[in-house]
Amino acid sequence: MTASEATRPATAGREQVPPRPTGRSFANVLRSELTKLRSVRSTMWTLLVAVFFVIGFGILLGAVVDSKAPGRDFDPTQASLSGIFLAQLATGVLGVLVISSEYSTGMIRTSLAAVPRRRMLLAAKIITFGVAVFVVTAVAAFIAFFSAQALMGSPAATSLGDPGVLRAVIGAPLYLTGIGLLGLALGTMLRRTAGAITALFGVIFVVPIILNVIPLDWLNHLAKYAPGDAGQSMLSVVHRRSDQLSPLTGGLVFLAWVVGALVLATIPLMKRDA
Amino acid sequence: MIEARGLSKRFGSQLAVDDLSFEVRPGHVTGFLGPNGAGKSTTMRMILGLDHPTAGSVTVDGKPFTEVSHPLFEVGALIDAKAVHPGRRASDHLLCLAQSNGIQKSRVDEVLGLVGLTDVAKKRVGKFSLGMGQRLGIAAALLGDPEILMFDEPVNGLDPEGILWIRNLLKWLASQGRTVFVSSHLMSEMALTADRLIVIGKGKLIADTTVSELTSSAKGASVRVVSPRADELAVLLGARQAIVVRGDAGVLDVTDLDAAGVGDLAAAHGIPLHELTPKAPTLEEAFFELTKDQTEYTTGAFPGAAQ
Repeated sequence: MTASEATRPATAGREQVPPRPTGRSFANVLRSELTKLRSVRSTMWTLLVAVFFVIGFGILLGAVVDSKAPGRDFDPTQASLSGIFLAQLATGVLGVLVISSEYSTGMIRTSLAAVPRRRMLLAAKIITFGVAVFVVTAVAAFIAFFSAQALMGSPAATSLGDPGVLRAVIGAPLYLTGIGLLGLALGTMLRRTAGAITALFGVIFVVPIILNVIPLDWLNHLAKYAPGDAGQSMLSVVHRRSDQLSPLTGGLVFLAWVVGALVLATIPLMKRDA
Repeated sequence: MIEARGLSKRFGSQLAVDDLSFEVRPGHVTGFLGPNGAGKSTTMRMILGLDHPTAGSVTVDGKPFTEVSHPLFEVGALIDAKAVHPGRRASDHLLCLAQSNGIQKSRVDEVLGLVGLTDVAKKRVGKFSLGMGQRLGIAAALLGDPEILMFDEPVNGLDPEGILWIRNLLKWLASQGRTVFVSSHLMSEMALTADRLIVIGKGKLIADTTVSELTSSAKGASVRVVSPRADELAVLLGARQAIVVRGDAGVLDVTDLDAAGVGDLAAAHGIPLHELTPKAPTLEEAFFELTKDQTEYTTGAFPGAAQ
Protein backbone atom coordinates (compact mmCIF):
# COMPACT_ATOMS: atom_id res chain seq x y z
CA MET A 1 0.00 0.00 0.00
CA THR A 2 1.47 3.29 -1.00
CA ALA A 3 1.37 6.49 0.98
CA SER A 4 -1.21 8.03 -1.31
CA GLU A 5 -3.54 5.08 -0.86
CA ALA A 6 -3.25 5.42 2.91
CA THR A 7 -4.44 9.02 2.81
CA ARG A 8 -7.43 8.05 0.70
CA PRO A 9 -10.07 7.36 3.32
CA ALA A 10 -13.30 7.76 1.44
CA THR A 11 -13.32 6.35 -2.05
CA ALA A 12 -17.07 5.90 -1.90
CA GLY A 13 -19.00 8.28 -4.09
CA ARG A 14 -16.10 8.73 -6.50
CA GLU A 15 -16.07 7.97 -10.18
CA GLN A 16 -15.91 4.17 -10.32
CA VAL A 17 -12.26 3.29 -10.88
CA PRO A 18 -9.60 5.85 -10.06
CA PRO A 19 -7.02 5.66 -12.85
CA ARG A 20 -3.62 4.33 -11.91
CA PRO A 21 -0.37 5.17 -13.66
CA THR A 22 0.87 2.72 -16.26
CA GLY A 23 4.23 2.45 -17.97
CA ARG A 24 7.63 3.90 -17.21
CA SER A 25 7.96 7.61 -16.46
CA PHE A 26 10.29 8.54 -19.30
CA ALA A 27 8.41 6.54 -21.92
CA ASN A 28 5.23 8.30 -20.79
CA VAL A 29 6.81 11.73 -21.16
CA LEU A 30 8.12 10.79 -24.62
CA ARG A 31 4.62 9.80 -25.71
CA SER A 32 3.28 13.07 -24.31
CA GLU A 33 5.86 15.16 -26.16
CA LEU A 34 5.09 13.36 -29.42
CA THR A 35 1.41 14.24 -28.96
CA LYS A 36 2.36 17.88 -28.34
CA LEU A 37 4.50 17.94 -31.47
CA ARG A 38 1.90 16.46 -33.81
CA SER A 39 -1.15 18.24 -32.36
CA VAL A 40 -0.06 21.74 -33.36
CA ARG A 41 -0.61 22.63 -37.00
CA SER A 42 2.49 24.81 -37.35
CA THR A 43 4.73 21.78 -36.66
CA MET A 44 3.35 19.94 -39.66
CA TRP A 45 3.55 22.99 -41.90
CA THR A 46 7.12 23.77 -40.91
CA LEU A 47 8.25 20.20 -41.48
CA LEU A 48 6.47 20.22 -44.83
CA VAL A 49 8.33 23.39 -45.80
CA ALA A 50 11.66 21.71 -44.94
CA VAL A 51 10.74 18.67 -47.04
CA PHE A 52 9.64 20.90 -49.91
CA PHE A 53 12.95 22.79 -49.94
CA VAL A 54 15.10 19.65 -49.77
CA ILE A 55 13.26 17.80 -52.55
CA GLY A 56 12.54 20.90 -54.64
CA PHE A 57 16.16 22.00 -54.78
CA GLY A 58 17.30 18.45 -55.52
CA ILE A 59 15.05 18.35 -58.56
CA LEU A 60 15.96 21.90 -59.59
CA LEU A 61 19.71 21.27 -59.37
CA GLY A 62 19.38 17.94 -61.16
CA ALA A 63 17.52 19.65 -63.99
CA VAL A 64 19.86 22.58 -64.54
CA VAL A 65 23.23 20.83 -64.32
CA ASP A 66 24.94 20.47 -67.68
CA SER A 67 25.75 16.78 -67.37
CA LYS A 68 27.94 16.81 -70.49
CA ALA A 69 30.45 19.21 -68.99
CA PRO A 70 30.38 19.18 -65.20
CA GLY A 71 33.16 21.22 -63.63
CA ARG A 72 36.17 19.37 -62.24
CA ASP A 73 35.15 20.27 -58.70
CA PHE A 74 31.47 19.48 -59.23
CA ASP A 75 30.07 17.44 -56.33
CA PRO A 76 26.85 15.78 -57.55
CA THR A 77 25.92 14.57 -54.05
CA GLN A 78 26.30 17.92 -52.37
CA ALA A 79 24.53 19.66 -55.26
CA SER A 80 21.53 17.36 -54.95
CA LEU A 81 21.26 18.27 -51.26
CA SER A 82 21.49 22.07 -51.67
CA GLY A 83 17.98 22.41 -50.30
CA ILE A 84 19.38 22.16 -46.78
CA PHE A 85 20.44 25.79 -46.95
CA LEU A 86 16.80 26.83 -46.99
CA ALA A 87 15.42 23.86 -45.07
CA GLN A 88 17.62 24.72 -42.08
CA LEU A 89 15.54 27.88 -41.63
CA ALA A 90 12.48 25.68 -41.14
CA THR A 91 14.02 23.08 -38.80
CA GLY A 92 15.85 25.78 -36.83
CA VAL A 93 12.66 27.77 -36.28
CA LEU A 94 10.75 24.61 -35.39
CA GLY A 95 13.41 23.69 -32.81
CA VAL A 96 13.08 27.12 -31.20
CA LEU A 97 9.27 26.90 -31.20
CA VAL A 98 9.17 23.47 -29.53
CA ILE A 99 10.13 25.17 -26.27
CA SER A 100 9.61 28.93 -26.81
CA SER A 101 5.93 28.43 -27.71
CA GLU A 102 5.47 26.81 -24.29
CA TYR A 103 6.93 29.87 -22.62
CA SER A 104 5.04 32.40 -24.73
CA THR A 105 1.66 30.70 -24.24
CA GLY A 106 2.22 29.78 -20.57
CA MET A 107 1.82 26.08 -21.42
CA ILE A 108 5.19 25.49 -19.73
CA ARG A 109 3.55 25.94 -16.32
CA THR A 110 0.92 23.33 -17.14
CA SER A 111 3.62 21.03 -18.52
CA LEU A 112 5.83 21.37 -15.44
CA ALA A 113 2.88 20.80 -13.10
CA ALA A 114 2.49 17.43 -14.85
CA VAL A 115 6.21 16.70 -15.25
CA PRO A 116 8.09 18.67 -12.58
CA ARG A 117 11.42 17.03 -13.45
CA ARG A 118 12.62 19.67 -15.85
CA ARG A 119 15.62 17.84 -17.29
CA MET A 120 13.39 14.87 -18.03
CA LEU A 121 10.95 17.14 -19.85
CA LEU A 122 13.77 18.69 -21.92
CA ALA A 123 15.29 15.28 -22.69
CA ALA A 124 11.91 14.06 -23.95
CA LYS A 125 11.60 17.14 -26.17
CA ILE A 126 15.12 16.61 -27.57
CA ILE A 127 14.44 12.96 -28.42
CA THR A 128 10.95 13.32 -29.91
CA PHE A 129 11.83 16.43 -31.91
CA GLY A 130 15.21 15.05 -32.98
CA VAL A 131 13.85 11.71 -34.14
CA ALA A 132 10.85 13.27 -35.91
CA VAL A 133 12.96 15.80 -37.82
CA PHE A 134 15.65 13.24 -38.66
CA VAL A 135 13.19 10.68 -40.06
CA VAL A 136 11.25 13.21 -42.13
CA THR A 137 14.28 15.01 -43.55
CA ALA A 138 16.14 11.72 -44.19
CA VAL A 139 13.30 10.56 -46.43
CA ALA A 140 13.38 13.95 -48.18
CA ALA A 141 17.17 13.79 -48.61
CA PHE A 142 17.06 10.37 -50.28
CA ILE A 143 14.25 11.45 -52.59
CA ALA A 144 16.24 14.59 -53.47
CA PHE A 145 19.41 12.59 -54.09
CA PHE A 146 17.82 9.96 -56.32
CA SER A 147 15.75 12.39 -58.34
CA ALA A 148 18.72 14.72 -58.88
CA GLN A 149 21.00 11.90 -59.99
CA ALA A 150 18.32 10.55 -62.36
CA LEU A 151 17.84 14.00 -63.88
CA MET A 152 21.58 14.69 -64.27
CA GLY A 153 22.38 11.36 -65.88
CA SER A 154 25.95 10.26 -66.62
CA PRO A 155 28.65 11.25 -66.59
CA ALA A 156 27.81 13.85 -63.93
CA ALA A 157 25.65 11.65 -61.70
CA THR A 158 26.96 9.54 -58.87
CA SER A 159 25.51 6.54 -57.07
CA LEU A 160 24.90 5.66 -53.44
CA GLY A 161 27.59 2.96 -53.62
CA ASP A 162 30.39 5.41 -54.45
CA PRO A 163 32.76 6.24 -51.59
CA GLY A 164 31.44 8.84 -49.19
CA VAL A 165 28.10 9.30 -50.96
CA LEU A 166 25.83 7.46 -48.51
CA ARG A 167 27.57 9.25 -45.61
CA ALA A 168 26.95 12.61 -47.27
CA VAL A 169 23.26 11.90 -47.92
CA ILE A 170 22.77 10.90 -44.28
CA GLY A 171 24.72 14.03 -43.36
CA ALA A 172 21.86 16.18 -44.68
CA PRO A 173 19.20 15.06 -42.14
CA LEU A 174 21.88 15.01 -39.43
CA TYR A 175 22.70 18.63 -40.22
CA LEU A 176 19.06 19.72 -40.31
CA THR A 177 18.32 17.90 -37.03
CA GLY A 178 21.41 19.43 -35.41
CA ILE A 179 20.36 22.96 -36.42
CA GLY A 180 16.90 22.25 -34.99
CA LEU A 181 18.42 21.07 -31.70
CA LEU A 182 20.62 24.16 -31.59
CA GLY A 183 17.40 26.17 -31.92
CA LEU A 184 15.82 24.11 -29.12
CA ALA A 185 18.82 24.86 -26.89
CA LEU A 186 18.68 28.60 -27.65
CA GLY A 187 14.89 28.63 -27.16
CA THR A 188 15.37 27.02 -23.72
CA MET A 189 18.00 29.58 -22.76
CA LEU A 190 16.27 32.71 -24.10
CA ARG A 191 12.60 31.60 -23.82
CA ARG A 192 11.54 34.12 -26.45
CA THR A 193 10.86 33.04 -30.01
CA ALA A 194 12.18 36.13 -31.79
CA GLY A 195 15.32 36.39 -29.67
CA ALA A 196 16.19 32.73 -30.04
CA ILE A 197 15.63 32.71 -33.82
CA THR A 198 17.80 35.81 -34.18
CA ALA A 199 20.54 34.25 -32.07
CA LEU A 200 20.39 30.96 -33.98
CA PHE A 201 20.74 32.48 -37.44
CA GLY A 202 23.23 35.02 -36.16
CA VAL A 203 25.47 32.14 -35.10
CA ILE A 204 24.96 30.25 -38.37
CA PHE A 205 25.10 33.09 -40.92
CA VAL A 206 26.60 36.19 -39.35
CA VAL A 207 29.41 34.85 -37.18
CA PRO A 208 31.31 33.19 -40.09
CA ILE A 209 31.05 36.41 -42.12
CA ILE A 210 32.48 38.49 -39.31
CA LEU A 211 35.27 36.00 -38.74
CA ASN A 212 36.18 36.14 -42.43
CA VAL A 213 35.90 39.89 -42.80
CA ILE A 214 38.39 40.83 -40.11
CA PRO A 215 41.84 40.53 -41.72
CA LEU A 216 43.46 38.37 -39.07
CA ASP A 217 44.63 34.92 -40.15
CA TRP A 218 43.78 33.14 -36.92
CA LEU A 219 40.25 34.57 -36.97
CA ASN A 220 39.69 33.54 -40.61
CA HIS A 221 40.95 30.11 -39.63
CA LEU A 222 38.30 29.88 -36.89
CA ALA A 223 35.41 30.41 -39.30
CA LYS A 224 35.37 26.76 -40.39
CA TYR A 225 34.70 25.72 -36.77
CA ALA A 226 31.47 27.75 -36.60
CA PRO A 227 28.46 25.41 -36.28
CA GLY A 228 27.04 26.05 -39.76
CA ASP A 229 30.29 25.55 -41.65
CA ALA A 230 31.38 22.59 -39.54
CA GLY A 231 28.02 20.88 -39.98
CA GLN A 232 27.86 21.48 -43.74
CA SER A 233 31.25 19.80 -44.19
CA MET A 234 29.46 16.49 -43.48
CA LEU A 235 27.80 16.79 -46.90
CA SER A 236 30.85 17.11 -49.11
CA VAL A 237 32.13 14.15 -51.15
CA VAL A 238 34.38 15.35 -53.97
CA HIS A 239 36.00 18.64 -53.43
CA ARG A 240 37.31 19.74 -50.10
CA ARG A 241 38.11 23.41 -49.86
CA SER A 242 41.13 24.28 -47.74
CA ASP A 243 38.88 26.41 -45.57
CA GLN A 244 36.61 23.47 -44.72
CA LEU A 245 36.97 20.70 -42.14
CA SER A 246 36.94 17.03 -43.18
CA PRO A 247 33.46 15.44 -42.95
CA LEU A 248 34.36 13.48 -39.81
CA THR A 249 36.07 16.37 -37.99
CA GLY A 250 33.32 18.76 -39.08
CA GLY A 251 30.65 16.32 -37.88
CA LEU A 252 32.31 15.98 -34.50
CA VAL A 253 32.73 19.75 -34.11
CA PHE A 254 29.07 20.19 -35.05
CA LEU A 255 28.03 17.50 -32.55
CA ALA A 256 30.07 19.26 -29.85
CA TRP A 257 28.25 22.53 -30.58
CA VAL A 258 24.82 20.88 -30.36
CA VAL A 259 25.54 18.83 -27.23
CA GLY A 260 27.34 21.75 -25.58
CA ALA A 261 24.43 24.12 -26.23
CA LEU A 262 21.87 21.63 -24.91
CA VAL A 263 23.88 20.95 -21.75
CA LEU A 264 24.36 24.67 -21.21
CA ALA A 265 20.61 25.20 -21.65
CA THR A 266 19.84 22.96 -18.65
CA ILE A 267 21.46 25.51 -16.30
CA PRO A 268 18.88 28.32 -16.76
CA LEU A 269 16.18 25.67 -17.14
CA MET A 270 16.86 24.36 -13.64
CA LYS A 271 17.68 27.67 -11.98
CA ARG A 272 15.04 30.05 -13.22
CA ASP A 273 11.41 30.25 -12.14
CA ALA A 274 9.03 28.95 -14.77
CA MET B 1 -2.02 17.72 2.99
CA ILE B 2 0.04 20.73 1.98
CA GLU B 3 2.60 22.02 4.48
CA ALA B 4 4.53 25.27 4.16
CA ARG B 5 7.35 26.05 6.58
CA GLY B 6 8.89 29.50 6.68
CA LEU B 7 8.22 29.90 2.98
CA SER B 8 9.70 33.10 1.50
CA LYS B 9 10.15 34.44 -1.99
CA ARG B 10 12.04 37.57 -2.98
CA PHE B 11 11.78 39.20 -6.41
CA GLY B 12 14.56 41.77 -6.53
CA SER B 13 13.92 44.13 -3.63
CA GLN B 14 10.31 43.00 -3.19
CA LEU B 15 9.54 40.31 -0.63
CA ALA B 16 6.51 38.70 -2.29
CA VAL B 17 6.11 35.92 0.29
CA ASP B 18 7.42 36.49 3.78
CA ASP B 19 8.05 33.60 6.18
CA LEU B 20 4.75 31.87 5.51
CA SER B 21 3.83 28.73 7.47
CA PHE B 22 0.51 26.92 7.14
CA GLU B 23 -1.15 23.56 6.63
CA VAL B 24 -3.95 22.70 4.25
CA ARG B 25 -5.84 19.64 5.50
CA PRO B 26 -7.99 17.04 3.75
CA GLY B 27 -11.78 17.09 3.79
CA HIS B 28 -12.21 20.86 3.69
CA VAL B 29 -12.32 23.63 1.19
CA THR B 30 -9.55 25.90 2.38
CA GLY B 31 -9.75 29.44 1.06
CA PHE B 32 -6.53 31.29 0.40
CA LEU B 33 -7.43 34.92 0.74
CA GLY B 34 -5.61 38.15 0.26
CA PRO B 35 -5.75 41.36 -1.74
CA ASN B 36 -4.30 41.42 -5.24
CA GLY B 37 -0.52 41.21 -5.05
CA ALA B 38 -0.52 39.58 -1.60
CA GLY B 39 1.55 36.63 -2.81
CA LYS B 40 -1.16 33.99 -3.32
CA SER B 41 -0.16 32.95 -6.83
CA THR B 42 3.53 32.98 -5.98
CA THR B 43 2.83 30.67 -3.03
CA MET B 44 0.86 28.31 -5.25
CA ARG B 45 3.61 28.31 -7.85
CA MET B 46 6.13 27.41 -5.14
CA ILE B 47 3.92 24.50 -4.03
CA LEU B 48 4.15 23.18 -7.60
CA GLY B 49 7.90 23.75 -7.86
CA LEU B 50 7.46 26.33 -10.64
CA ASP B 51 9.08 29.06 -8.55
CA HIS B 52 12.00 28.30 -6.25
CA PRO B 53 11.60 29.58 -2.66
CA THR B 54 14.20 32.07 -1.46
CA ALA B 55 13.91 30.44 1.97
CA GLY B 56 11.82 27.78 3.65
CA SER B 57 10.10 24.81 2.09
CA VAL B 58 6.75 23.44 1.09
CA THR B 59 5.77 19.78 0.84
CA VAL B 60 2.87 17.84 -0.61
CA ASP B 61 2.07 14.71 1.42
CA GLY B 62 5.48 15.04 3.03
CA LYS B 63 7.51 15.35 -0.18
CA PRO B 64 8.64 18.27 -2.32
CA PHE B 65 6.37 18.26 -5.38
CA THR B 66 9.34 17.95 -7.78
CA GLU B 67 10.19 14.54 -6.28
CA VAL B 68 6.76 13.06 -6.95
CA SER B 69 6.90 10.42 -9.68
CA HIS B 70 3.34 10.67 -11.02
CA PRO B 71 2.41 14.24 -10.03
CA LEU B 72 -1.06 14.34 -11.60
CA PHE B 73 -2.15 11.53 -9.26
CA GLU B 74 -1.10 13.59 -6.24
CA VAL B 75 -1.92 17.20 -7.08
CA GLY B 76 -4.29 18.63 -9.66
CA ALA B 77 -3.77 22.34 -10.18
CA LEU B 78 -5.41 25.14 -12.10
CA ILE B 79 -2.89 27.95 -11.94
CA ASP B 80 -3.82 29.90 -15.03
CA ALA B 81 -6.62 28.99 -17.44
CA LYS B 82 -4.68 30.63 -20.26
CA ALA B 83 -1.60 28.45 -19.71
CA VAL B 84 -2.40 26.37 -22.79
CA HIS B 85 -1.23 26.33 -26.40
CA PRO B 86 -4.07 28.04 -28.32
CA GLY B 87 -3.40 25.98 -31.44
CA ARG B 88 -4.07 22.65 -29.77
CA ARG B 89 -7.45 20.91 -29.66
CA ALA B 90 -8.92 20.56 -26.17
CA SER B 91 -8.78 16.76 -26.34
CA ASP B 92 -5.13 16.80 -27.50
CA HIS B 93 -4.22 19.22 -24.72
CA LEU B 94 -5.64 16.83 -22.15
CA LEU B 95 -4.21 13.80 -23.96
CA CYS B 96 -0.62 15.04 -23.84
CA LEU B 97 -1.00 15.78 -20.12
CA ALA B 98 -2.60 12.38 -19.48
CA GLN B 99 0.13 10.55 -21.41
CA SER B 100 2.88 12.31 -19.45
CA ASN B 101 1.64 10.56 -16.31
CA GLY B 102 0.61 7.27 -17.88
CA ILE B 103 -3.11 7.99 -17.67
CA GLN B 104 -5.35 6.09 -20.11
CA LYS B 105 -6.89 7.92 -23.04
CA SER B 106 -10.41 6.98 -21.86
CA ARG B 107 -9.93 9.22 -18.83
CA VAL B 108 -9.62 12.24 -21.14
CA ASP B 109 -13.16 11.69 -22.40
CA GLU B 110 -14.33 11.14 -18.82
CA VAL B 111 -13.02 14.47 -17.52
CA LEU B 112 -14.27 16.30 -20.61
CA GLY B 113 -17.74 14.96 -19.77
CA LEU B 114 -17.33 15.89 -16.12
CA VAL B 115 -16.71 19.56 -16.94
CA GLY B 116 -19.20 19.65 -19.81
CA LEU B 117 -16.77 20.17 -22.68
CA THR B 118 -17.50 16.98 -24.64
CA ASP B 119 -19.10 18.89 -27.51
CA VAL B 120 -16.09 21.16 -28.01
CA ALA B 121 -13.40 18.51 -27.44
CA LYS B 122 -12.15 18.88 -31.02
CA LYS B 123 -12.12 22.66 -30.95
CA ARG B 124 -8.82 24.50 -30.75
CA VAL B 125 -8.28 25.98 -27.31
CA GLY B 126 -7.54 29.47 -28.66
CA LYS B 127 -11.20 29.72 -29.66
CA PHE B 128 -12.40 29.05 -26.11
CA SER B 129 -14.13 31.64 -23.95
CA LEU B 130 -12.70 32.38 -20.52
CA GLY B 131 -15.29 30.14 -18.88
CA MET B 132 -14.51 27.24 -21.21
CA GLY B 133 -10.82 27.78 -20.54
CA GLN B 134 -11.45 27.53 -16.78
CA ARG B 135 -13.39 24.31 -17.31
CA LEU B 136 -10.56 22.89 -19.42
CA GLY B 137 -8.06 23.78 -16.69
CA ILE B 138 -10.25 22.04 -14.14
CA ALA B 139 -10.55 18.99 -16.41
CA ALA B 140 -6.75 18.85 -16.52
CA ALA B 141 -6.57 19.08 -12.74
CA LEU B 142 -9.00 16.16 -12.39
CA LEU B 143 -7.16 13.86 -14.86
CA GLY B 144 -5.28 11.87 -12.24
CA ASP B 145 -8.18 11.83 -9.73
CA PRO B 146 -5.79 13.45 -7.22
CA GLU B 147 -6.15 13.77 -3.46
CA ILE B 148 -5.07 17.41 -3.51
CA LEU B 149 -6.65 20.06 -5.71
CA MET B 150 -5.42 23.59 -6.03
CA PHE B 151 -7.23 26.35 -7.90
CA ASP B 152 -5.95 29.89 -8.34
CA GLU B 153 -8.84 32.38 -8.66
CA PRO B 154 -11.13 29.84 -10.36
CA VAL B 155 -14.20 32.10 -10.55
CA ASN B 156 -12.41 35.04 -12.13
CA GLY B 157 -14.24 36.16 -15.22
CA LEU B 158 -16.97 33.54 -15.01
CA ASP B 159 -20.67 34.14 -15.53
CA PRO B 160 -23.08 33.42 -12.64
CA GLU B 161 -23.80 29.92 -13.90
CA GLY B 162 -20.08 29.14 -14.10
CA ILE B 163 -19.51 30.51 -10.60
CA LEU B 164 -22.26 28.32 -9.19
CA TRP B 165 -20.80 25.31 -10.97
CA ILE B 166 -17.34 25.93 -9.46
CA ARG B 167 -18.79 26.39 -5.97
CA ASN B 168 -20.59 23.06 -6.14
CA LEU B 169 -17.58 21.32 -7.64
CA LEU B 170 -15.30 22.51 -4.83
CA LYS B 171 -17.74 21.35 -2.15
CA TRP B 172 -18.24 18.01 -3.91
CA LEU B 173 -14.49 17.43 -4.10
CA ALA B 174 -13.98 18.26 -0.43
CA SER B 175 -16.92 16.05 0.61
CA GLN B 176 -14.99 13.10 -0.83
CA GLY B 177 -12.21 13.70 1.66
CA ARG B 178 -9.90 15.55 -0.68
CA THR B 179 -7.72 18.53 0.14
CA VAL B 180 -9.11 21.53 -1.74
CA PHE B 181 -7.11 24.76 -1.73
CA VAL B 182 -8.66 27.75 -3.51
CA SER B 183 -7.30 31.24 -3.76
CA SER B 184 -9.43 34.32 -4.15
CA HIS B 185 -9.36 38.02 -3.48
CA LEU B 186 -13.14 37.97 -3.02
CA MET B 187 -14.17 37.37 0.57
CA SER B 188 -17.83 37.09 -0.37
CA GLU B 189 -17.03 34.22 -2.71
CA MET B 190 -15.03 32.40 -0.05
CA ALA B 191 -17.84 32.88 2.45
CA LEU B 192 -19.99 30.68 0.24
CA THR B 193 -17.52 27.88 -0.45
CA ALA B 194 -14.72 27.71 2.09
CA ASP B 195 -14.72 26.15 5.56
CA ARG B 196 -11.23 27.16 6.53
CA LEU B 197 -9.37 30.33 5.63
CA ILE B 198 -5.73 31.24 5.28
CA VAL B 199 -5.51 35.00 4.96
CA ILE B 200 -2.34 36.70 3.77
CA GLY B 201 -1.35 40.29 3.06
CA LYS B 202 1.96 41.58 1.70
CA GLY B 203 3.22 38.00 1.76
CA LYS B 204 2.67 37.55 5.49
CA LEU B 205 0.19 35.28 7.26
CA ILE B 206 -2.62 37.36 8.79
CA ALA B 207 -5.04 34.67 9.89
CA ASP B 208 -5.36 30.90 9.81
CA THR B 209 -8.93 30.37 10.91
CA THR B 210 -12.45 29.29 10.02
CA VAL B 211 -15.01 31.47 8.26
CA SER B 212 -17.28 31.69 11.32
CA GLU B 213 -14.43 32.57 13.69
CA LEU B 214 -13.31 35.34 11.41
CA THR B 215 -16.67 37.10 11.23
CA SER B 216 -17.44 36.81 14.95
CA SER B 217 -14.06 38.20 15.96
CA ALA B 218 -14.25 41.13 13.59
CA LYS B 219 -14.76 44.64 14.83
CA GLY B 220 -17.38 46.85 13.29
CA ALA B 221 -20.60 45.54 14.90
CA SER B 222 -22.93 48.51 15.39
CA VAL B 223 -26.55 49.38 16.14
CA ARG B 224 -28.74 51.51 13.92
CA VAL B 225 -31.18 53.63 15.91
CA VAL B 226 -34.03 55.76 14.58
CA SER B 227 -35.79 58.06 16.99
CA PRO B 228 -37.75 61.36 16.77
CA ARG B 229 -35.70 62.50 19.77
CA ALA B 230 -32.35 61.38 18.38
CA ASP B 231 -30.43 64.45 19.54
CA GLU B 232 -31.46 63.90 23.13
CA LEU B 233 -30.55 60.18 22.89
CA ALA B 234 -27.15 60.98 21.37
CA VAL B 235 -26.21 63.07 24.37
CA LEU B 236 -27.25 60.29 26.77
CA LEU B 237 -25.29 57.70 24.73
CA GLY B 238 -22.25 59.96 24.69
CA ALA B 239 -22.34 60.09 28.49
CA ARG B 240 -22.16 56.25 28.46
CA GLN B 241 -18.92 56.36 26.40
CA ALA B 242 -20.68 54.91 23.33
CA ILE B 243 -19.51 56.15 19.94
CA VAL B 244 -22.32 57.80 18.04
CA VAL B 245 -22.29 58.71 14.37
CA ARG B 246 -25.19 60.85 13.19
CA GLY B 247 -26.73 59.92 9.89
CA ASP B 248 -29.82 61.48 8.29
CA ALA B 249 -32.23 63.34 10.55
CA GLY B 250 -33.21 61.08 13.42
CA VAL B 251 -30.75 58.30 12.57
CA LEU B 252 -27.84 57.26 14.79
CA ASP B 253 -25.15 54.66 14.27
CA VAL B 254 -23.95 53.42 17.65
CA THR B 255 -20.87 51.36 18.41
CA ASP B 256 -19.46 50.11 21.74
CA LEU B 257 -22.98 49.56 23.12
CA ASP B 258 -25.26 46.72 22.05
CA ALA B 259 -28.92 46.96 21.01
CA ALA B 260 -30.19 45.96 24.47
CA GLY B 261 -28.12 48.68 26.10
CA VAL B 262 -29.42 51.32 23.72
CA GLY B 263 -33.05 50.15 24.14
CA ASP B 264 -32.84 50.13 27.95
CA LEU B 265 -31.29 53.57 28.01
CA ALA B 266 -34.01 54.98 25.76
CA ALA B 267 -36.78 53.34 27.83
CA ALA B 268 -35.32 54.70 31.09
CA HIS B 269 -35.64 58.22 29.68
CA GLY B 270 -38.95 57.68 27.93
CA ILE B 271 -37.49 58.26 24.49
CA PRO B 272 -39.50 56.51 21.73
CA LEU B 273 -37.54 54.35 19.26
CA HIS B 274 -38.81 53.77 15.71
CA GLU B 275 -36.03 51.37 14.78
CA LEU B 276 -33.33 49.43 16.64
CA THR B 277 -31.23 47.20 14.37
CA PRO B 278 -28.01 45.41 15.29
CA LYS B 279 -25.64 45.28 12.29
CA ALA B 280 -23.10 42.41 12.16
CA PRO B 281 -20.06 43.07 10.02
CA THR B 282 -20.13 41.23 6.70
CA LEU B 283 -17.26 38.92 5.85
CA GLU B 284 -16.15 41.51 3.40
CA GLU B 285 -15.86 44.12 6.15
CA ALA B 286 -14.07 41.62 8.37
CA PHE B 287 -11.62 40.89 5.59
CA PHE B 288 -11.14 44.56 4.85
CA GLU B 289 -10.52 45.27 8.52
CA LEU B 290 -7.87 42.52 8.63
CA THR B 291 -6.06 43.53 5.48
CA LYS B 292 -6.45 47.30 5.42
CA ASP B 293 -2.80 47.84 6.34
CA GLN B 294 -1.66 45.09 4.01
CA THR B 295 -2.94 46.07 0.61
CA GLU B 296 -0.29 46.63 -1.99
CA TYR B 297 -1.85 49.70 -3.51
CA THR B 298 -4.01 51.85 -1.23
CA THR B 299 -6.40 54.18 -2.93
CA GLY B 300 -7.56 57.58 -1.81
CA ALA B 301 -11.22 58.01 -0.89
CA PHE B 302 -13.37 59.54 -3.59
CA PRO B 303 -14.26 63.11 -2.68
CA GLY B 304 -17.78 63.30 -1.35
CA ALA B 305 -18.21 59.54 -1.08
CA ALA B 306 -20.00 58.32 2.03
CA GLN B 307 -17.84 56.05 4.16
